[in-house]
Amino acid sequence: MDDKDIISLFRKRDENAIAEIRARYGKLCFYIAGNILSQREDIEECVSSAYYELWNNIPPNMPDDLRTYLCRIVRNIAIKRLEYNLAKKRSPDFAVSIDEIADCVPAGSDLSDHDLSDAISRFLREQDEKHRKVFLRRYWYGDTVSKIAEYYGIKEKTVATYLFRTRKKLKAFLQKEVYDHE
Amino acid sequence: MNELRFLEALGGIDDELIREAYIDIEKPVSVRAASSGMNLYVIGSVAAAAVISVGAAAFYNSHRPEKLLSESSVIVSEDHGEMTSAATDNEKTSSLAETSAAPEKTTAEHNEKYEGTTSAVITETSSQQQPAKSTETEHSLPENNIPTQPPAETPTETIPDPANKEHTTAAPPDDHDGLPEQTTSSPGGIPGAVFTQLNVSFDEAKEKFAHPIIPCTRDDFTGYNAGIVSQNGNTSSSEAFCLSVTYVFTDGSITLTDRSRLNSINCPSGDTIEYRGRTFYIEDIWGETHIGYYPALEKGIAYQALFSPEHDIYDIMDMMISVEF
Repeated sequence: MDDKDIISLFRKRDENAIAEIRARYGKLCFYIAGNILSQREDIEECVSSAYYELWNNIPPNMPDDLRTYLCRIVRNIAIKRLEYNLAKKRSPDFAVSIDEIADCVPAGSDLSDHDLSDAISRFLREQDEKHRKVFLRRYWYGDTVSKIAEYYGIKEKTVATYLFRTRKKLKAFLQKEVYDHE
Repeated sequence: MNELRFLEALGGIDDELIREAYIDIEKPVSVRAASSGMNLYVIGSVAAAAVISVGAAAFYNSHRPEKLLSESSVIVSEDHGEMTSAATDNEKTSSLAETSAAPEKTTAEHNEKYEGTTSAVITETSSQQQPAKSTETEHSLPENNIPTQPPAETPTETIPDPANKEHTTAAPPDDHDGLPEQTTSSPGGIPGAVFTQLNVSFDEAKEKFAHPIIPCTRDDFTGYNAGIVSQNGNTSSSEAFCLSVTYVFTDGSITLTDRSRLNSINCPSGDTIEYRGRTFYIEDIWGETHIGYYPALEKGIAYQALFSPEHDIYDIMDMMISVEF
């Protein structure tokens, strides 16, 4: 069953849609959530919440790309859970070091979340493909550096270098965005 | 928290970007072949060392060696290069030549690289010497100034000194016989101090440099350069001294500079990275990666690396640590 068929099931309010999407994208959902959250219960809850949100959103939403749409939902829920865990000082053991990304967004920035997302998208489109992919694998998909190195057939140190450079550029880019915005 | 805000904002980026980075996790495939830029491109020691040479000249302008120079001295660098046809490295040479005088640009346009001697020539600017309007280029040195063996394959770059433009008009001569040339700051022939990079063996580098050095055995290592400060380019005179030793690699170099020879402090700049218990300063200089490491911030040996931007910074830092004594 392909994505179109699954969406049709959702539109018909057929509960088999959940079973189908679980079969098709279950592993991917667990992978993404697992890269952000460490507790198995948190991951399972996150994925289940994502299916529920999908059920509620389709219809009226009609995503062109079901996989990306689902991944985005899973990731957003996982990040919210991470935020909750951090607030409660529950060790999140997030695959991405928080220190790594602490400086990416300029302090005191009053850009809206939407503007910030838009700025990051524009920034990433300007980057070299390999740097962009490595950056997204790390910070969107939450892959470990070693995993990324394995995927792309490069050294871990090279991955770390790409990430360092891209973060540095992003920081400068966002500082300019904030300045222009003000 | 900024970091969470960043992660949330990243969640809102365009679908196409997310799709592009998608990898089927059940079938991990290496995409190295699709990444044509993954291969390290070889700049060659000529271009890399040229930038180091320029850096050295700039370094002198702000940190003059006490022994040879007065406070009013400034540096110009002089081209002793001889051109040899070489198809490689033309891109880097070209980029360097953009900041150089016209003859270098011509060189780059013809896909040629420089081989020869490089000297950063320091001219005096005291009031007695002010009448000088241009440098005189001689094609041979007095016999006692000629090194027994001409230095080979060191790069060259011309740096107009903004504070002393009238002294920087020397153009590279057409004829190069492989001997170092001398630039004087006035018709009166008052000599300036000259910075010369000599290709040397490890033993020679060890002997010339006043500090212990460690041999390099990496595959991409190509040789040692000793940076000699002398008067009139006479590198064998008793007053000449070795200011730096450079480890030259295929796509960059690492220079150890003896700051006890300088009368002011080299202030590190750039972003810092803590790595293996050391603080490294990283910045981009002309598109190259410059990394500085200063075990003692205001004295001792300064370790400065200049490499192709493709070279992994952690590998560079490892290399710098490996040559640390």
